[in-house]
Amino acid sequence: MNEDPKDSLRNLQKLENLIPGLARFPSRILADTYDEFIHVLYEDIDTIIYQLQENPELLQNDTEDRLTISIINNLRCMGYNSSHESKIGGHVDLAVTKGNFKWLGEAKIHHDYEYLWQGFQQLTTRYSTGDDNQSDGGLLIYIKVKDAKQVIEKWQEHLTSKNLPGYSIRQCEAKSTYFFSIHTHQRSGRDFKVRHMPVILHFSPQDKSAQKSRKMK
Amino acid sequence: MTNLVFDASIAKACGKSTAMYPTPMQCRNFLIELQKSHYDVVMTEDVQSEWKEYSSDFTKQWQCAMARKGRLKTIPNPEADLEIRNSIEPMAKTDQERVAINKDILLLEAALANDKRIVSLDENAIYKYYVANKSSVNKFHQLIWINPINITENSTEWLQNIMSPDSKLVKIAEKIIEDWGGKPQSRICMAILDYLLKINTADSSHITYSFLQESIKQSEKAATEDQDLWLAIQYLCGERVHLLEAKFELIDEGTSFPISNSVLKNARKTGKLTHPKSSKIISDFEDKVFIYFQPSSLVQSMSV
Repeated sequence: MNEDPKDSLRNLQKLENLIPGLARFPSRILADTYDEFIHVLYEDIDTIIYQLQENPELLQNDTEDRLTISIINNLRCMGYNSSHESKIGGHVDLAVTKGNFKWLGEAKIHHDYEYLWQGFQQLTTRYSTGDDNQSDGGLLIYIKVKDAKQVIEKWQEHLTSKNLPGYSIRQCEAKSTYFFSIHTHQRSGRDFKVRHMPVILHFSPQDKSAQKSRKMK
Repeated sequence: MTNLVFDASIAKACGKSTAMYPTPMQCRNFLIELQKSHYDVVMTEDVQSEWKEYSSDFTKQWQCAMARKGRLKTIPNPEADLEIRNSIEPMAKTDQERVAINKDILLLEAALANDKRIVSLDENAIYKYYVANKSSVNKFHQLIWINPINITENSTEWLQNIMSPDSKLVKIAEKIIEDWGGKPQSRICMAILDYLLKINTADSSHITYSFLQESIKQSEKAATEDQDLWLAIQYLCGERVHLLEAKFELIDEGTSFPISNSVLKNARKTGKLTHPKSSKIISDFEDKVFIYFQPSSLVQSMSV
């Protein structure tokens, strides 16, 4: 028997607030339905995205793969079984599994909306089965241009114009710039839900010292 | 074929084929089983000449058999690895120690250049410096030190299951190093893995945070930051390597009651836990519910 206060749930909750990487540790252990797995995973991905967005100046030259590997590494350190280019009907950018549960993500640096559409199609028609154990996926949109909100609004319009069967969208309650699209999955015929997640990486400081350093270059 | 880098302590310990003490018998058994395995033996030029000096009828025959099959390789003494030398050489307190280190450090350098596996007894002069620097020298995380007299189970099974490059143990160690690199969690996770493989998993169904903290303290002779240890534990409980199974228990008036994940999930949702025996509602359950760990089924399958 163990009555060390260090091992109590109360202490774990305190530590979750003090150690960012430890947040949601008990929730991750307790997640044993697909919806719970997805819910905790999204909270963890959001934390990682917040961290990435903190230093956009360091990520300007990073490729799609490099940025995604950084997310994969962070997920792995939290204990997730996450991988890059796992061979699931091709080379998916980000796969996270827990037992039979699977979440797949495609990642694109935003260049134009047709390029994002290609990523969406890869995710929904090539890699995912759309079955009960993988009815959710994600599109990570690395945005290095300004005004991420406008990019997402235009992407939403572009996606809507594709007239996908059973299509609907809804805003994400956790993050105002995110949205979910739901449509009938081609393979399974079931609803497939995609979380569209912009990663804000634009960096162009306009203060005097930044202008001076640009001139010096 | 995977290379095992040998030192001369093995030849010395084997003795004659008639020596019936445990150490010579275990070393000879190890060499016999090694002959049947898929491993090659590598010796530096210096070790090769030292091996001759200590050789007995048994080791001579074994060496000839391995050489005939092309499974005994002699390599030139490796180039000095400055990262290792700079961390170990200053630890010598006397000239005698310095000489011993300079001689035996070649073993570490040769292993790092050849599949990273050393076969030697722990009495080798370099062993204590290797152990003392295990946590601070990143390259040491990759080394596996095999002491034939520490293999308590069947050597054949051990060589096949544990040491194979495809073995679960090697794959897990590689994942840990890949994920954490030079961060403290690499050495903490490796220390916990060592601990889990040493204990009798059948009798260890209740491992607490303090147990893990103490086991690391003993193996590393140093305290570990709480933050680093918790992050390592979280990682080991996850799907990626899954060495630990997290469990919960309610401790009330000195009695422990196991709490299932679904019951705890419900309590966290409602803010109330129903006592499994008295059915009393416990509102401050976070102070009375404790986490503990069990070796996962993966660990049990590795503990041959």
